[in-house]
Amino acid sequence: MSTGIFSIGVSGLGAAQLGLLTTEHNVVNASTPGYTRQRTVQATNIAINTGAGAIGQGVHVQTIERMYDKFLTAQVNTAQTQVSELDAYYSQIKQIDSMLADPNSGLSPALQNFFSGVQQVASNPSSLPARQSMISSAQTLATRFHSLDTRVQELADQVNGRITGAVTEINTFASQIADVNQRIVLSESGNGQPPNDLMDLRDQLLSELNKLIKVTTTTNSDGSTNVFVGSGQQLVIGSQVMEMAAIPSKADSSRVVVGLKTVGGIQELPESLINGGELGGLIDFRNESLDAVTNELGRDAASLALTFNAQHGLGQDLLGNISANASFVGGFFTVPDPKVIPNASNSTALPVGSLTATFTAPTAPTPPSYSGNFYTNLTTSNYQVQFGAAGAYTVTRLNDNQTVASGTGAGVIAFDGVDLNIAVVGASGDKFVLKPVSEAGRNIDIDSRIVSDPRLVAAAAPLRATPSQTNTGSMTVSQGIVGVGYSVAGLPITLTALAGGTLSGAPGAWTAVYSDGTTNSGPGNVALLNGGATLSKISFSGLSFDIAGTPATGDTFSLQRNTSGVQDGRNAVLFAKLQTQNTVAGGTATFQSAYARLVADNGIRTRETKVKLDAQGAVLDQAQATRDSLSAVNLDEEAANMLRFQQAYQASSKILEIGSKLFDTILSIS
Amino acid sequence: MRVSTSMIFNSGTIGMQGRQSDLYKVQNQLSTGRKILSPEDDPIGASEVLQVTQSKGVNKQFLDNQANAQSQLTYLESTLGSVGDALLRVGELAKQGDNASLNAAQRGMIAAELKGIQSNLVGLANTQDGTGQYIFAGYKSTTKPFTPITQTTPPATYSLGNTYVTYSGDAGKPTLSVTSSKDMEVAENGLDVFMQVKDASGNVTGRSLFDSIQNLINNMDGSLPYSAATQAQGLADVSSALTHTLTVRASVGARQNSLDGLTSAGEDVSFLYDSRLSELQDLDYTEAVSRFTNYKSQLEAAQLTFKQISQLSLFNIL
Repeated sequence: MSTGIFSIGVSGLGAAQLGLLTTEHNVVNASTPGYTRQRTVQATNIAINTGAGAIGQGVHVQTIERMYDKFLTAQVNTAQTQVSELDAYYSQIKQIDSMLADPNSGLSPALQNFFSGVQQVASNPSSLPARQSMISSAQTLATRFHSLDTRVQELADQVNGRITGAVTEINTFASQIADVNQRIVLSESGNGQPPNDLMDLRDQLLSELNKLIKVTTTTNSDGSTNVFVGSGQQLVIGSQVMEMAAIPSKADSSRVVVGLKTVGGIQELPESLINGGELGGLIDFRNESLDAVTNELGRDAASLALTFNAQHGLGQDLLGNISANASFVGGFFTVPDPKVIPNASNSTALPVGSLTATFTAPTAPTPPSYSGNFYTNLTTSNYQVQFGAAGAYTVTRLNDNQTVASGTGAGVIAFDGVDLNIAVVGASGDKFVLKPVSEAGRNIDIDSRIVSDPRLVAAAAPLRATPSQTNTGSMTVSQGIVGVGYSVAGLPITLTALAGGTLSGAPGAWTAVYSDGTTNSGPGNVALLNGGATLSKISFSGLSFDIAGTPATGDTFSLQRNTSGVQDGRNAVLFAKLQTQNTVAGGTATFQSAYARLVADNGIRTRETKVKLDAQGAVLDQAQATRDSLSAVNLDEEAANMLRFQQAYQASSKILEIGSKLFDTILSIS
Repeated sequence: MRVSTSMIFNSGTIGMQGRQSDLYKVQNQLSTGRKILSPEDDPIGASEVLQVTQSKGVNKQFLDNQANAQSQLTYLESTLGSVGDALLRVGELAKQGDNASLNAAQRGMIAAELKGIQSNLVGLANTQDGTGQYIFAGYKSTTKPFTPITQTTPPATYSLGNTYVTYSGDAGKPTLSVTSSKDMEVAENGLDVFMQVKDASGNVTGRSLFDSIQNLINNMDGSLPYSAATQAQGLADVSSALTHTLTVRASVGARQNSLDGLTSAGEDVSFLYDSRLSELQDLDYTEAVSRFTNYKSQLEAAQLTFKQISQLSLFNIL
C-alpha cells in the first residue's frame, strides 16, 4: 500500500518532468527551421485488480510525438518547389525584360539613328561627311547588337553557373538525407521510438532539396526514405546516393545540362524530366526565353545585314564601281554564316567542313518592275539534322518539331532562309545542331573596306537614261532601276523612235509592259502601242525603265552607265525604305516590329511568370500557415503547458510528502 | 484555428514586405514619371511604345527630308527667278534691236549688253550650291555642266542648228523620300531647263536658251549681216525660253507648295504620336499619389498592429 503511494507519486514526477523537458525543447526550438512541436503522450499504468476494485498504479509517458501531418508537409513542399522554379525563372527573365525596352540601351534608338544616317546620304550622296556619319551610326547599331547579345550571353553563362551550383547543392542534400536515413534506421531499431528531431531534419533537407528540384519520396518499412527525381530516377535509396552531375551537353557544348552518375558513366537527363525548383526554372528559362531572345536578336541582325547588303549590291559607289567591278564592295554589313555543331556522341567525327551552312540570298523584287523589297525567311528556331541509314537525313525545326527538309546523300538543301551544304554524309544516328542566327547579333559588323573608305557606300544606281538634246517628242524615259543579277554588259544602248510607232535598240530578250498591264517580249523592235495601251516599261538584262509620252520619229534615248553620277542617291533612298518595309520573317515584319514583338513576348512571359509567382507564393504561404497551425510552436501555449507540468510536478511532490507523513505517523504509534 | 507564434511573425513580415514592394514601385513611377517601368508592367503597351517611337522617328526623318527638299527647291526657285529676270531683259533688248532705223553701232551696243547677259546666264546655269555641287548637272554634280564653245571665227552662216553651249551633265533629277509613299525630285537638270526649251504649246523648239540668245547676238554685233527675220525668230525663241523657264519654275513652286502641306500634316501627325506616347507611357500623377497614400497607410497599419501583437506574450506576465 505505502509503496503504491510512493511509486504513483514518482511516476507522476517522471511524467511531469518529461512534460517540462518537452515544453522546454519546444520553447527553445520555436524558430528552428523545420522544427515540429512535440508533446508527451501520457497513459495510466496497468492497474492492480483487487477485491476492492482496480487500483490505479500511476502514470507513464508512452512516447513523445511530433505534431506532424505528412500531407500538410507534402503540400508545402509541392508549393515550395513551384515557387522556387518560378522565382529562378523570374529572377533571370526580369533582367532581359529591363534590358530590352530601356529607352536608352535597347535596339530601337540605334536602329532609328542608323536609318537617319542613311537618309542623310540619300539627301547628300556626294557628301563625304554624310557617308561617314552613316557608317558611324551603322557601327553604333552593330555595337548595340553586340552589347545586347553580350548581356544575353552573360545570362546564359549565369544559367550554366547556377545549374552547376544547384547540382552541387542537390548532391550535398542527397548525401545528407542518406546519412540521416541511416541514423533514423539505427535509432528506430534501437528502442522502437521515433527519432523526432532526426525526422524533422530529414523533412527539412527534403524541403531544401525541393527548392532545387522537384522530388518524390517513398518510405521504407525500416523508417528510411527513398528520393526520386524526374519520372522516377533514383537520387537516394536508403543510405545509397546516386549523384547528379552538371556536364556540357553532347548536342551543344556551350550549355551545361544535368546528368545522373550511373555505373555506365554519366547519363544526360532529358530536360523535360527536370521540373520544379531552381533547376527546373533555369532550364525552362533557357529553353523558352534565352534562346528566343538570342535568336530574335540574331534574326534581326542577320535580316538587316542580308537585305541591306542585297540592296547595297545593286548600287554604285562614289568611285563609279558597280557589282561588275572587282573593287566594288557589295556587302555593307558582315555576318557570320550559320553554325553547325556535331553531337559529341556521333559515331565518327566527320572532317571539318562536312556540314556547313550559309544564308539563302534574301527574296528579291522581281522583274519587270522590280517593285517591292528584299526580305528573308529566317526563323528564330534552331534545327536538328539527323542522319539515317545510307546517307538519308531529316532536318527538324526545334521550335515546333516540324520536319522542314529531308533527303539522301550529299548536296545543298534550302529551308527557312538557310542553305545547308552536306559535303560528307554522317553515319546512321549521327546528329548535328544547326543554329542559323545565334551568332549574328554578336558578330554583325561593317565591312572594313567601307569603314576605311566611305566613298565605297553604294548610294547611286548603276545606270541612267539620257534623251538626246535634239529630241522633239514628249516621250520620257526614267533613270532606270536594276534587279539582282543585272548586267550592264550591253550598255550603252540607244533607243530610237522609228516611223511606224516602234522603238529600236532594245537588246534580245526584252519585256515590254503596257499601260493596261499587258506584256510583250523580244527580240525585235518594241511597239509603242499594244492594242490601245501605251508602252509604260521596258525591261532587259535585269534593268528596267519606265516610259511615258510619245516620241517624235528619230528621237533617241541613251541608256548608259551612271558615270560620274555622284549626286545620285537613288540606291540610298531604297536603303532608307528598308526601315519601314517588311523585311523579316518572310516579309511579314519590319526590323522594328520584329524587335517590338520580342519585347512584347518577353514582357508577357515576365508578367505571366510574376503573376504565377505571386499566386503560387500565396499558395505556399497558405500551405505553410496550415502546416504551422498544426506543427509550429506557440509560445503562449508552451507557457501554459509549463505551468501545467510545473503544477503536476508540485502535486506529485506533495503526494510523496503526504506518503512520507503517513509513514511517519505509523512509525510514531509504535 | 490554432495559431503558432511563427505564423504571427510570418504574416506580419509578409504583409509589411508586400506593402513595401508596392510602395517601392509607385515611388519609382512617381520619380520617373513613367507608367511602364519595364515591359512586364504592360507588355503590349511597351511594344506599342517601340512601334510608335519608330513611327515618330520616321516621321521626324521625313520632316527633316522635307526641310532639306524645301531648302534645295528654294535655292533652285530663286536661281530660276534670276534666269527669268535675265530672259525678260533679253526680250526687251531683242525688241529694241528689232528696229530697222537702228545703225550698226547702236545694234552693237545692244549686242554687247546681250553678251553680258548671256555670260550671266551661263553662270546661273553653272550655279553651285553651298557644298560646291552644280545644281543643274543632274547626277554628275561635280562636273561643270555648261561650257560655251569658244569661237575663234564667227559662224560662216546663220543656222538654227548652230550650237554655242554644250551640256555635259545628265538627265538625272536627285530625289528624296518626303513621305513613306512619295519620292520628290529636289533638283532640275540643265537638259530640261536650258537645253530642251519647249514653246508655249509644249513643242520642243530644238534650240537651247543660250543658242537663241547667241543667234540674236550674232545678228546684231555685226558678225553676220543683220536680218529682220532672224531677229524675229530670235524674239520668238526667247519668248519660248521665258515661258519654258516659267513652266519649270511653276513646277518647282508646286513642289514647294506640296512640301508645305506635307510638313504641316507631318507636324500634326508628330503631335498625335507624342500624345499617343504620353498616353502609353506617362504616369497619371493623381492616381499614383492616391495609390502611394493608400499603400502608406496600409503599411503604417501593418507596422502598428505587428508591434502590438508581437508584444503579447504570456511569458511577460508570468
